[in-house]
Amino acid sequence: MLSRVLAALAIVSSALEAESKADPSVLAPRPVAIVAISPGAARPATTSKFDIVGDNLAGGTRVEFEEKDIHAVVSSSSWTHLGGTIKVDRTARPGPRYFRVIGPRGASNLLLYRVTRWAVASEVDGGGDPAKATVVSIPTLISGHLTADLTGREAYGEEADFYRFHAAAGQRIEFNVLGARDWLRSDLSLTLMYPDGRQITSEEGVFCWDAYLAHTFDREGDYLAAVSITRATGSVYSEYDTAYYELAIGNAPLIWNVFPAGTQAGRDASLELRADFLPPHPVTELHSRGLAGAITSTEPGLYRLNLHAAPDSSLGLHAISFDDNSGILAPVPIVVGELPERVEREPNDTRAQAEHLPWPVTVNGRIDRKDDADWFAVEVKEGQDLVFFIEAETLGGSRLDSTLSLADSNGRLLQFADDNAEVGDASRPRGLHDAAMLYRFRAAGTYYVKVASLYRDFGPDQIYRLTIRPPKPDFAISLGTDHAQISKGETADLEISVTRTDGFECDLEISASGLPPGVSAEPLTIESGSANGKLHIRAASDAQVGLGPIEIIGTARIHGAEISHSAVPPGNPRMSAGPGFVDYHPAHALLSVNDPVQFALEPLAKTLYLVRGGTADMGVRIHRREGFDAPLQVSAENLPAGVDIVESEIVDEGKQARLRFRAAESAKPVRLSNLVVAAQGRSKGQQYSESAPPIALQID
Amino acid sequence: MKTVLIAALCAAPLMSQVAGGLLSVEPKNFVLSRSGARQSLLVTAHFKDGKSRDVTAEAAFHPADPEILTVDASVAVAKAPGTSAIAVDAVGMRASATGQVLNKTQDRPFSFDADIAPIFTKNGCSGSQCHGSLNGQHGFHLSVFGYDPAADYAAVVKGSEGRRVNLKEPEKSLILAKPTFQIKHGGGKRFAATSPEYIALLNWLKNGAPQGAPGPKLVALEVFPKDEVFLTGPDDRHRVVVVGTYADGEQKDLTRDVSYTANDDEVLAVDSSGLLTPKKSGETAVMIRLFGVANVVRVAVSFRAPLGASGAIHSQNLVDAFTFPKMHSLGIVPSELATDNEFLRRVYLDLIGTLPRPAETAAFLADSRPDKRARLIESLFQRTEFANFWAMKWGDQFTNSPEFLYDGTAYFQQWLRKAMANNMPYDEFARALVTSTGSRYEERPSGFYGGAKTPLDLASFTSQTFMGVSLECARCHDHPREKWKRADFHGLAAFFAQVSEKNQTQRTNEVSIYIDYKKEFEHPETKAVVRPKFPGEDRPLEFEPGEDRRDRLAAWLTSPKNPYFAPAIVNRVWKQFMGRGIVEPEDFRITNPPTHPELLAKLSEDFIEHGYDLRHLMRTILNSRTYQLSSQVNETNRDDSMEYSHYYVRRLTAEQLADAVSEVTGVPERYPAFPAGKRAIELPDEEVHSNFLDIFDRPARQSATCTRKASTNITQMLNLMNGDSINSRIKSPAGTLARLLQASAGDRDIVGRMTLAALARPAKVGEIAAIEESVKRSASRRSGLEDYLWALLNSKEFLYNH
Repeated sequence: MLSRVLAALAIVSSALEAESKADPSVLAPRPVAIVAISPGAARPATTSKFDIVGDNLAGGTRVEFEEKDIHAVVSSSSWTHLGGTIKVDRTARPGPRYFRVIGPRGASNLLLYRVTRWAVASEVDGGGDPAKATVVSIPTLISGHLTADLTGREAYGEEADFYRFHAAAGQRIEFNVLGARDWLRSDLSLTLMYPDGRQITSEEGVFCWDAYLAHTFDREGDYLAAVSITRATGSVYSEYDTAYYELAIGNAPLIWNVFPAGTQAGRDASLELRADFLPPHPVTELHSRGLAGAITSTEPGLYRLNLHAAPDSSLGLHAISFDDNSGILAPVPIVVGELPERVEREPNDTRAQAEHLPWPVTVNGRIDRKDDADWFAVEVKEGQDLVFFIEAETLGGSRLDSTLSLADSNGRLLQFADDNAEVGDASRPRGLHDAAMLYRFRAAGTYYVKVASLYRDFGPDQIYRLTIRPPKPDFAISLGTDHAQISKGETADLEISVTRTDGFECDLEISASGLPPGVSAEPLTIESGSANGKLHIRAASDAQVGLGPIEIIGTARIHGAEISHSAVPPGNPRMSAGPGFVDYHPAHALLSVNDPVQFALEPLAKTLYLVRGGTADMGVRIHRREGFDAPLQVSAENLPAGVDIVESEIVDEGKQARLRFRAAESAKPVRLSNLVVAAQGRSKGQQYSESAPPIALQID
Repeated sequence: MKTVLIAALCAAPLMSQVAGGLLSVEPKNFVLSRSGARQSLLVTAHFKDGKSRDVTAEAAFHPADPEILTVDASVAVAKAPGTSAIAVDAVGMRASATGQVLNKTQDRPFSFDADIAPIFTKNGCSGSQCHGSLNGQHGFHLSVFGYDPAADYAAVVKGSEGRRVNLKEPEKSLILAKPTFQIKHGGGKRFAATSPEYIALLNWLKNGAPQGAPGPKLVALEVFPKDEVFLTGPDDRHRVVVVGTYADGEQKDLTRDVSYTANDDEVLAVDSSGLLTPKKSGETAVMIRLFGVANVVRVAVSFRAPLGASGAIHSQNLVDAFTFPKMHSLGIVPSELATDNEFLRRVYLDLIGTLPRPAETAAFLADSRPDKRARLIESLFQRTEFANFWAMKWGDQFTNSPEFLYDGTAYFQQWLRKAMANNMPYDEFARALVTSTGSRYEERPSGFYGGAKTPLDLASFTSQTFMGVSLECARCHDHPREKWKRADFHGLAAFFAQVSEKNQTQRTNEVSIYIDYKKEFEHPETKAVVRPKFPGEDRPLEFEPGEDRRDRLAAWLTSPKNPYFAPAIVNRVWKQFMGRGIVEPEDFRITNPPTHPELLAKLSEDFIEHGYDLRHLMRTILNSRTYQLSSQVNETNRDDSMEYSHYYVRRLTAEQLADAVSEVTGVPERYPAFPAGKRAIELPDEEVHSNFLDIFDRPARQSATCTRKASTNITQMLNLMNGDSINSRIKSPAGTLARLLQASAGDRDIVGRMTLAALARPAKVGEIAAIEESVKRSASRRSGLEDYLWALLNSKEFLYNH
């Protein structure tokens, strides 16, 4: 019977065969991706177990932290899990730690772990039953996960995680769900409830999808906090059925925004900070050369930071932070710039009230009242080129999506600008929604520029820096990934993207340095008018297997001078703007040289549907490297209880695996997206194993 | 609290031959354009008891100058230019009118518009169910209610290659043969071959079916009597007089030219002369139409015996001051005040969508303070359920659905919930929504820009939502019955022309609303730029560069001068509590008059004076005696469905019912991806899976909905009787019944608690005895009590709000 079904499947799949043979990328190494670590935090001077969840993790040997006060030892691995212990040094300070998984299949993406001085707890799965809530003390950093279906709408999986805690009368407690800020795609909501299930309040999202609320309890007693998924799950790296999150219950410091979001090197500045739950005498932590500052409190939630930027302080982004026991405080970036700076002077709401600016200049402003718009005036000579650019999204906890309007002295609109990354300082990342323009003035005179919010938003978080200066043509290059792979004897392409600023239009020469022995790169020219290129690299068949940093360099001639910039490793994509979201870039991009992949598995369905008490068949295409004809044994990982493979065979001259799955009557209805089919075989004395990309499994 | 002694109003004997009162003649002043012109007169006696009667037929008319005009059978006939008074005597009273005869000696030229087109309107040919429907009937399409005579001329004379007119043999024209039923006609016989209509059409055809000069455009119909007509018996007939005003200022008696339609023809018959003949007690409006112009006369009919002095009815507030006198005038005795139990359960369900808990019921019943009902209402405003329940209702109105907002529904719901919890003034609420911007995946009002996407859709959605006015007809043509022109619709749409969407990056389907100041609204056909203008106004507006047009729209919309904004929300809130809108359905138009126009106006005025405070409006209604009347009817108000003389019983909505079952059984419903304990009224959108909610008419949120369907069908009954929703929870070991049994509670205690939870009243002695007997006969005590709980949850008293 199975053979007949599989024969039919073979006919269907045969059409795909020619296509798959023609694509050499089928045998490229699959990326190593990590999605979550559980628990996600540990206290100093502790050693605790961890479980990393991801894809293609089998054989992973190391968990490598970027910082040196935390160490991990791997003790087990499978295709989707990596286990071991993490030891945190006694002297480790609370805060984020970034790590990757390293193994023979290469390096993974980065992920976040936290050191905390709070109690650490892990969710005890109560099956969504409030009566089985995990009991926690305050403050606690909780690691939890929710297993739900991919759409969050069908009746699969658990509905919520419940935590029981005790609050005193009048106690104000902060509840902070960390998901999107840790690169999860889950929309997590938070509900506070009385023990009998009645809702007190709920919150959907304050930090992008992450729910946050601070609540004052009117009477002493036990309460419940419930974390649930509103919508689709998964992370930035792979669609996944389980949403991992941290829930901080306690009063962790939180910086909402800083204004102004920068100063000039060599100057003192008085910064206004809006923050909650700072300690009584907060100690400023400025992890940057040349910056010093002290903080005073003016009223609850409002602080004054007197900042000194030494003349030799490094130009560019700096971060403001405070001593914090929770480890979840997100630092707020500010800029130390080279141009003269000032703070806008209100009223400047109309063209007639425009504040006259000598340029070059950076003016710090805030759209702080309903329908506020800030007008500035500049004097220019005929033929003058000027750039006007906003920096907001990446700075100061700003939530401003800005626009710029340029008008002449008659009020005629000359140019309107919204999102524009092609004007500004190439040396630091531009916000996706920051406005900018380059304009050539045909006549001398006074001109007016207006800064406004695209969404007519206003408030203390609508912070911007407007820089006006002559153009400085320049460029920045970035890599598509910070963890590339190549197999011995094969080629690979590194995606390179170029941001040209202030009218820079020349060709760019791209080169690589620090490539591992036996790996070479073909010269690449990204021509004027093009923003992308692929750097073709080749690994010799005797190249050394291993992992190392690489540097990609772009070179161009600008005004006769040769200018070179290194590519910035992309780090993790920021899910949103505003407080809590941090751009993190690793020091280096990594390139791993791997042994060639001998075979690859390609599931012929994206979802396996099973009915309790029934069976279902599935085919998996096997792509073999020429000459690799070893027999393969097929298995599956993450089958839920009650589901088994009851038959399997290799057919079609070894090019296809056929599996029959059975779900027992006792199996629970579920929808998972991490069913992994794997195979292993021995050839020429060497063991080979590969896994297929995860597929979904639905049991009804 | 103000007390109105209705008895004072009732003390006088009722009906016709009452000494004293007033006599009126309508129109009081009229103009006849030329000699021979005619004007029907209406004479009404207004008696001291508040009643009135049409006494035209028994009136004697005495023109002061018969050389100028005479009166023949209550119709004034012009004789010569000049002005003459007319004295009128009837039922022992005298009144007067004045007629002015002008010297318009030139007969106007023939006009299809004025002389032929009215025939099609008056005989129903251009009705919306006949040839005036969107696609006409059998290839013959007239403009609905004759609003476009030029198009009608083309349809009659040139349409279908001219087959409807036969100029060689006019008598064989289809336009004559069909309405006289000489040949088969789906619309039946409309007039006889000897009728004036037939003769007029025939003469027109014999003259070559000319179009003639365009007739002066009819701009208004004035209807007499202006006030509501009250008829007290089958023989108490009343006539209607209609005066038309044309664009050139000429006035004309159109009483016999207009078409009349009673909205409820079971209450009233109306003939082609405008004579109203009552059929049974009730209230209705008569629509009067000609050439796309419409007006109404409101008619109340009561065949009930006159009420005697019936003691004082305590008016608790301004609501009662309008409802009770009208009930009395109609001979309706209002129901008694609802009991505390009834009121408690009702106000919980109506205001917060939730049943009172037994402890809450017990506390309320034990409270002896005279103002405890008012106190309860205030306390309910502070409840979380209040904000949740009203956010849900607004979610229906604003189509808060993943179909349009994807993952943004919970965020929009959160904004709505906070607006309700913070009692955001309604004008501010509307302005925030209309002028909203930003991401729909944030807690913002920009979810408003979800379902309606195009400027035309937004114009329709906004007018319906905030003014209760449907402009849909004006999307394609001038409104056939109302003042709204197509230019009004386009002008309104132009306010939304610059609303644009920006896609964000990381979150799938995240859309942000912003204003693109370069965009303009183009006329759908001509593609000419249409400037924004307010509906009903002529001049388009000018805007500063960078000005968000919606600001001025929102200001106009929410202005106290806007005659629709406050009444629309007053009507919507009224309907939520009273079960029927003062304007019903929610479509403010001339032909859909309110049941209590003065009450609607007063409530709206009061609402505005109190800063558009929704809670003030709610408490005004809820604290009225009218709201607090029992649902138990008496002989006089059994059939009442629009005077609010008793509480109108209605089935619990899907969410109310689901939450009520959870509350009574002690077993919460579990909704996918939500924590156990999540209530139905807290769900963000309609896509959260629940068969139970769907069966009980949870709306699909595909279009703006302010009214919940409340069907009753066999699927619902089967679900309640046999489905898991009830039965599994009755038997649940975690349920209230199981817990009570485990705590060794006695039968009486269990029955008492369950009854209190479900019905907000103690079990009656007879009920307890019957249940005890039933339990004794059951296979086990537990199964007997489960049967009782099952019966309780299937009882009408539980399933309905009463």
